[in-house]
Amino acid sequence: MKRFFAFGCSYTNYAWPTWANLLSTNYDEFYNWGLAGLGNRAIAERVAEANAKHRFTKDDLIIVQWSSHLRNDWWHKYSASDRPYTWKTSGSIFNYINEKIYDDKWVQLFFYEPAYFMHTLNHISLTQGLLKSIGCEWYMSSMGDIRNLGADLRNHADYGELGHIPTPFDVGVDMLAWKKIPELAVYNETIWENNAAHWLMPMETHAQLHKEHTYKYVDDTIRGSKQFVDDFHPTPRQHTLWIESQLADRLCLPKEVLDFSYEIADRVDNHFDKFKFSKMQFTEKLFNSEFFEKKHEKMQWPTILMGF
Amino acid sequence: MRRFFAFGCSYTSYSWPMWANMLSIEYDEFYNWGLAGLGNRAIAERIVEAHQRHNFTKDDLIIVQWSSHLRNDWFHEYSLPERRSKWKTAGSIFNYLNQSVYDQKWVDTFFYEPAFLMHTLNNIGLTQGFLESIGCEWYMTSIGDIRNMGDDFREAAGSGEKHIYDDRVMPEVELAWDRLPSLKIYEQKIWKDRADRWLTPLELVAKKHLDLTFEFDDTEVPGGKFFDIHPSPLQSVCWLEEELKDKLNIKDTTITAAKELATNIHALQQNMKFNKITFELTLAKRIDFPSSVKNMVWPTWPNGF
Repeated sequence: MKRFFAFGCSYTNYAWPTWANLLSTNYDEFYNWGLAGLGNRAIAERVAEANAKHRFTKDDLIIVQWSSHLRNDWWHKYSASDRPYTWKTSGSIFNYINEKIYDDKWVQLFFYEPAYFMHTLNHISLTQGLLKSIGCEWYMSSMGDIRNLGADLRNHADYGELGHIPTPFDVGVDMLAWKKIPELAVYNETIWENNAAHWLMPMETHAQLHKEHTYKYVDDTIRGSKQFVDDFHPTPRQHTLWIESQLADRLCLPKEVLDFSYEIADRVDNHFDKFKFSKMQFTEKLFNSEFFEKKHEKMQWPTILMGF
Repeated sequence: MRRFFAFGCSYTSYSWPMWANMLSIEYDEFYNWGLAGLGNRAIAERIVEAHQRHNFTKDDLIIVQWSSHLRNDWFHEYSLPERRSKWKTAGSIFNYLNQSVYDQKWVDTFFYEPAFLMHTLNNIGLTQGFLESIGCEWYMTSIGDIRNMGDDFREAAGSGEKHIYDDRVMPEVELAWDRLPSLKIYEQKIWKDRADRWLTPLELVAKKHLDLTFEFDDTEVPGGKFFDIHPSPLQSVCWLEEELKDKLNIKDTTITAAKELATNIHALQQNMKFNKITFELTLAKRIDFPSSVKNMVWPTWPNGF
């Protein structure tokens, strides 16, 4: 019996099937520990939590998608009760959702970008160690290349995922972090070079190769939004292309898995063409249990919330 | 060549030689990554950082001393410059040093004790996996038993290290699983599967030898006195003998040297108990340190970024 565990943020668990859901059809058991808005500390902690809960074995497949170093993870049962999860992170410290949480005093006292980047590197390394100690099959990906400090992400200013360090002239500079924070370059060898076979192309980098498939819709979940905006989360088709390019050979995926994945992508794309005037209507219909056909049931989506 | 790396808080690196310094006599190289005030996330992160700098191998000995789940670790180059380390933690969120840092809004928004314990457990779990992936010899200890949530620490005025539950009807051990049963999933992986890696918490051994605790005059309260609950040198020797002598095959000469050093320091402390700072400054000159510990590394500079 082969189990598949996926970890990450909204690039892994989203309002439409992601790479993790699409890949899940190849496995006997699937656990999607992805959670929208998470930062890298929470992602690492949830790997540890899942290990305590499910007791990983060498037969498991574990894929971790890292997010951004600009997120401050915290967990609370009661505070910020308008947020649906107990992990309260909700993306970048500097996004529009977090404006009220992080005032100038907080930012000046607690936020220092090189340190936040260091925390990300430390948690990636800890996670790699844990996965190696299990002896399982594991891979890692990310939104953009972690080492580019967010400069390779397509950005809405509102999302705040571009930190303070990159300047407009830094876009396109490879491994920007080691140029900007050279003392942290010591991590490159242990995290990336020594584990090159475990790193998959960043999802955003790959999606940018297939920009034509990006969804652009009226995001009426944001009050007052009337303009078409890009949703940079990879679409089911972009996820499928990523699986095909990054995982098909590594995991020896049967043709049926990719065929199924493309079928799902076709279905969601067709639906999107009809409902692009409203994100709310587009996604609500997707969540309707009748949207996918009986034959699609082997894909687990949406998934129940995993973890504390 | 054998290297020894120690990680922890002030129970590992302090103003008098601790267990780590004494043990260092046995090793060719010693790196004390202990840093006063650290919480458990910072301790875990510093292990990774040390690996980047020193490239751990299977021949290394690594001992990690965990602190308290009530500490909020953060690192900053510029904020709070009066704190010398860039890790700005400075102990519990609720201690007297941190009163001006964590206001009620901060506590209400970000602090939820079960989550802070969960973070500690996750960091321990990650670190255990990390050390196993290296293949080195490793052990872990802590101030009190992590599962007692600080309830087995001796009282230290203003330290704020006790768990915040105010119900005093409590089990004597494993308070965490009694109060937070959902977190018991960590017990098997962290403690039971790795029982041979855990050493008795330092505070528990120190409490068995209470008479060896250092007491000082309180210079701000006429006639007042206070205990410093950090293990005294003789308490550290007790812990080394009870917990590590057999596991590490520590030479008798090392234990003898540590005892000789500790005895001398206790004698100095008896003479200088009127002022802790004067005692510390005098001690830093290594006066009355026996020749048998001339290779002992102490005091140490803080390692890391």
